[in-house]
Amino acid sequence: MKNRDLFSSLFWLTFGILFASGGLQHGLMEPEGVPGRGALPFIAGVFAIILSLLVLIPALKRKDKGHSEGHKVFFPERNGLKRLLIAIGLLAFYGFFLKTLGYPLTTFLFLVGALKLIEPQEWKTTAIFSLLTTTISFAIFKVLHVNLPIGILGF
Amino acid sequence: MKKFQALIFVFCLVVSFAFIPWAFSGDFPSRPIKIVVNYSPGGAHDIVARALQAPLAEALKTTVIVENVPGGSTKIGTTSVRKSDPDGYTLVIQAVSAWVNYYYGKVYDYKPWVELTPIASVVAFPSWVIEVQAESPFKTWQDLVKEAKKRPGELTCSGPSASGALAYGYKVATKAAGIKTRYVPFKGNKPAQTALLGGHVDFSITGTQNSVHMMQAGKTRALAISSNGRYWAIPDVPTFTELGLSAPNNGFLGIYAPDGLSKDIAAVLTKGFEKALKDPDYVDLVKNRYFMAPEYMNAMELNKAALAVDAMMEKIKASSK
Amino acid sequence: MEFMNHISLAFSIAFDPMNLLFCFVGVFIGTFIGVLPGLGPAASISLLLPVTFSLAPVQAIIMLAGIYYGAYYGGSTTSILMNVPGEAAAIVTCLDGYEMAKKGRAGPALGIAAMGSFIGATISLILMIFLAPLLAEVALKFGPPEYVGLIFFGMVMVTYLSKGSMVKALLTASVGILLGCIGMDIVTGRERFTLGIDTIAGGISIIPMVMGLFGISEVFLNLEKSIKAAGVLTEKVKNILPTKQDWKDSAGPIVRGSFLGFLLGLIPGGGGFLSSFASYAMEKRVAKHPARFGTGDIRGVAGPETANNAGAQSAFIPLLTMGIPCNVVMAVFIGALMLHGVTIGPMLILEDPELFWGVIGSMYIGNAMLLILNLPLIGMWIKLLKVPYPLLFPLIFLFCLIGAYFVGNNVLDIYTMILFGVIGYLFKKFDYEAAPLILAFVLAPMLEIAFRQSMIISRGSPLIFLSRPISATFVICAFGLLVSPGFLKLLGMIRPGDFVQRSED
Repeated sequence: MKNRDLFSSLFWLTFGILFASGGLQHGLMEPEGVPGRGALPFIAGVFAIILSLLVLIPALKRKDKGHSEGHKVFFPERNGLKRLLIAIGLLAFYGFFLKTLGYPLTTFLFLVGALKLIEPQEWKTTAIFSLLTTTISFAIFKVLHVNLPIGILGF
Repeated sequence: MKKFQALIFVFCLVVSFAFIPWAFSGDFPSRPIKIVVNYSPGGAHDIVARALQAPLAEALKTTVIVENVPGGSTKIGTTSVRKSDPDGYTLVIQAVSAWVNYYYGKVYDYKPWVELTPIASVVAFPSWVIEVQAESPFKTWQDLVKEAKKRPGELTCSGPSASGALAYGYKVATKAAGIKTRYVPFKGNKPAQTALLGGHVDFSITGTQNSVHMMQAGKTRALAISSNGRYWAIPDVPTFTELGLSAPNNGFLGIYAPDGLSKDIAAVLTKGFEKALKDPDYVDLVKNRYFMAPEYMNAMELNKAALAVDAMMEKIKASSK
Repeated sequence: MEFMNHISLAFSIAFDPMNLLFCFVGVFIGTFIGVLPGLGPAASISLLLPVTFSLAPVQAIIMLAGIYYGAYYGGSTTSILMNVPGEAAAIVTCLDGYEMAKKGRAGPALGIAAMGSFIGATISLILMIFLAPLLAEVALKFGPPEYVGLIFFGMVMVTYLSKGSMVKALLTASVGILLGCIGMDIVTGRERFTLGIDTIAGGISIIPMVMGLFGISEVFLNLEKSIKAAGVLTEKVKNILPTKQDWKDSAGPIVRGSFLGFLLGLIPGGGGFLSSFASYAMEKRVAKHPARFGTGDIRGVAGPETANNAGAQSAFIPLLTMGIPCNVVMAVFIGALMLHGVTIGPMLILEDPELFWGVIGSMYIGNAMLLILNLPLIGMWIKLLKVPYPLLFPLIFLFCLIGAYFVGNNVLDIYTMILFGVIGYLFKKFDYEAAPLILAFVLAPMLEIAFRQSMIISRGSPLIFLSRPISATFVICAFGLLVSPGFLKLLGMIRPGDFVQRSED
């Protein structure tokens, strides 16, 4: 666990420092003893710094190099990272094209991607499943009068 | 067999493309018109826009869509409309006083009511109400002023936010009356009013709808209202002008389109709204549920009213420095 | 008399055909997502929120509430049959439930879980009908200083009661506070840490955040390894009705669990997991033969299942009367109620009694529906467990994407969701917990504004928190908790964290 605690606590340390200093810049006090808008971020930032040190210091003291007991492999399978990145990419694709391509087309393409790229399904399953899901969800939204984004193709 | 499956796939793809539109041509309007609401569903802006949907659709013979684009103190929605094509299919509905306040609060770096094309105003309402608890010793606005002068800086007032129309209203009213009190901002009208009802503050500034509801329930008493004249829902409450204070009067919701809209299309839209506002369902909803007036202003009147609010706010800003 | 009026109002609204329909839809979806691993109630409510825009507020809230408590029923099914907890509160049920299933007694385990939940909910709802109006009256007396005391106490409880390491829980809570600072400051009306991005000027939206942290991240975790068929116990589930002996054994745990769950549900951080855990610990302590626990003892299913459902209902009291969320789902509810123009607080019960009592009435009916959905129809849910994950996850993704987008019609919300999905995934990898983050994210801005309001009222004197009895009590309790980590140990409870680690050994 050593490396992981090390990494995460360093991240939070930076996070805390950024906000605490930002809080200082925003001003800690208003007139009449009322805390300013920087007060809470400053205090919480300082807390985050102290707490991340409390995670960091024991992690540094620990002797194990990450091969001892209790250490879990980050990605249990070799292409774990690849699968993860594809998933993130697909989600981002959806956000990126939803407004330009419109709901049905983006949804259809997204589903095809999700079914083919991560755990590849047969083309037939993919096509039927994607088309059905797209059509049914599209119909439901129409019935519920949810306004769907209209793409450049006009639907 | 693989080939066959691929064929099915291509076929499906083609089918989904076949919804291709009939848009892009014909007289205005030939496509759905979209009204952008700068707030989440449920608020007054949203309700008014949705109430307009059916009558406007009938008046213009097309579909009307309401889209909520909340966030960024109205800036996200407004700016998206400003940037969209000036074809008359994208409109925004907004209380102009809020725009003006946000502009002077440095949310906007442009004046939306100048940079956008005015179409029509669809509803009007008193800007704010000052109220106290029903058991409060202050029976009138003068009582409150007297007490505040006796104990300067002691009385507290709750309001819905630190900036925006009502926070300015508080400043204007206390300044004009020459009193010094402390302002406690809350997140929204209801929490501010709840603090008043719990006796945690001495008075409160709130929106009309809120005030009328609570007054009818016998929980609060309104001392003054910022309105063009006595307000029909609570006619016993004196206006600020009657009390000898100069303050902005009615607020109004305006409809705006992107800059550069052709005059013909703008005229079609303005006419459409004029017709839609006469719809009895719309009048009933706005009046009886939200205590507003379905008052119509055409594009020119709207523009004039917006500039007047702007001028007044500029004066307040300058005098408070 | 007033009590009867409230009940009749509650049921007259809950029995409205449309409300009945939406209640059914809610509990059905709730059971569905409770059974499916990987999409908890918080994420599901977030993503179904846009669908409710066209509904009346009462209908929408009835439906969303149904999803919430329905998920608890569904969660027990997967725990018992697969040893996979559908949501956190069901972890405890796995211990004895799965053992029972292995011994061929899955039927009675499922039966007692559903009936215990129903009884727990009934008792909890009766207490609610008595207590809620009283609490609303007390809540009106809560001014800014009292809120400071209450929320401060609540935040301490949340971190104290979280599952893992306390340092890490406090750390994620401070991160939640910092994230909550982003956006418009209410007191001065100026922006903080927005980096000039308009979308976050009003603060990070909680809906995509919750969907990312609790929905997307779970799918990421499942996706990183190739998908295998899950090991469902495939034998037919028989004899759903518990025997006489089962009832005799379970009666005590069910009654104790109901009251314990009710009380814990009222405390921030207390509902769900803590209720079921505390009940398990208590039953073990009370039992004559504690060694039988963990080997398929029906008491280990009856108590926790009752308690977590009782707590699930009672968490609505602080939410609806004071606007304080006690768990993550309640935090999402604040957003949902706001979108429907309902302001929660002490005035809700007076201003909108139809909504308040209607929702409470519907919860009773919903629980009755769940009993039917989960006992005679259990076979249907078991079939659902066999839907292959490669087909399921694109759907979960799609629902989340649509949900994130339609809350604000803003594509940036989709990116927010993806970002928090990655963060939630990393949290799990690095052994952090997301619940304190969300609760701190919601509570911190409330605490901050109440604190500054108090300071405006008191003219900068912090003594205001100690001179008012209610806030003084809360502040002192909170500090007491902070200084003495053994506080709960003294009360005979072990930190849930210790417990989970031991059960994993």
